Amino acid sequence: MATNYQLTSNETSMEAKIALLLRFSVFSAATAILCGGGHFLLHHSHNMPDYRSFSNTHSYPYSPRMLLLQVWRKDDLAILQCGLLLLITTPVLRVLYSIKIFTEQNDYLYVGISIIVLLMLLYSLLWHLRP
Amino acid sequence: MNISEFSLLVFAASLLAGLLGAMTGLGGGVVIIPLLVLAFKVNIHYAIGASLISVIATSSGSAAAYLRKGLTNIRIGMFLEIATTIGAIFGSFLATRTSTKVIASTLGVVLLCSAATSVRKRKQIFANCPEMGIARLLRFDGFYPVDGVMQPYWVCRVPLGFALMVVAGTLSGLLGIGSGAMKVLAMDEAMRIPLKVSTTTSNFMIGVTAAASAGIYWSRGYIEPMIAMPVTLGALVGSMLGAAVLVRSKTHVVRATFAAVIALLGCEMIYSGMTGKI
Repeated sequence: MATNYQLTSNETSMEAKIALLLRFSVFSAATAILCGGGHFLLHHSHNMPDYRSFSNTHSYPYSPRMLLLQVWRKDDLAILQCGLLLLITTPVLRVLYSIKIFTEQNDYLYVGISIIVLLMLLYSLLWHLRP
Repeated sequence: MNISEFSLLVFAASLLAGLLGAMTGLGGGVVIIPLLVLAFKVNIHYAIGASLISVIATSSGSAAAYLRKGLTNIRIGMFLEIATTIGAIFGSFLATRTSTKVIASTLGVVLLCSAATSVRKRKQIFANCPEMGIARLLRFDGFYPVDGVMQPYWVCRVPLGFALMVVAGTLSGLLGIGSGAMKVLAMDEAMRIPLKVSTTTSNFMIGVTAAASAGIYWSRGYIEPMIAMPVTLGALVGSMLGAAVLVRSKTHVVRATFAAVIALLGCEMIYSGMTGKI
């Protein structure tokens, strides 16, 4: 029983670290979204884009490289999109962190399980790079 | 209506949805899509994209709060995430091949089911299978606090739970929702996980599930930044407030009211979907 309780306390500290990481990235993402979007609204408040019809052609940059280039030029929408992208990658950070912790605990079964989840996420995130 | 007014109204509506979603445990995602589509006349693909981002934000935000209490079973969560991410990727491919009529009607049916499950009282069924093969191999058993004392628990019927999680992931990827209700159902009914543990573990999984479809949504242009902004910020603030209010309020009145609203929105989505108004 003693070993079980020790395991639980180990896991509790692991959970506390993941919790802190999640909070930090959600907060940073929300700040970027608010700054980029807020600034965009200040300058474009009188337009109303048509959101009724869907066009799957991109009116905004969406690859990380193009985004960073636009952020460098202080483009509001690019900053907003960086925030959104950061939010999307928050779960990836969480899975990466779990892999690190499971490795430290020599729990290779769960290192493997976490890697499968990571690959699924990367498949989706890198899907736009398909040939 | 100009874009500033639009953003402000969508922010307010999402805040309310996030607040009620957190207070009732139903999540805000399910009501945000019908709100955007029916009230703000936003295209359903953009609504789905914005909702999905807000689901990731609220899940990561609240998972942080739950993780501190040490109730989440990270092993069960991580293993079942294989199932939900497979489903989510399949669902997001399905979303681009499915007509808006079908998507709207399916969402309507999901809304009706969520309303029904929220009224149903969850009862604790204790697992009586400590020697189960797969659960034992994967070391799913754990401890959770009951009146301050750590109690052990076991997990049953892992393959059934896994299969239900693939379905939950598919719905999440197709409709841009967290499908928390379905995840909780799989863990409660199939796997017999204690209620406190299943609720928090489901919350923990929602973010990863949603992220698995978000990449594909992003490349397909579903995520329109100026719609995603007010929805995400509103839902985030709302869910934080909801978690704070939760401690001191009569949730059953709120729950019944919210369930009724969800059911109404569900009927409206089915009707609008069938008649091709969306």
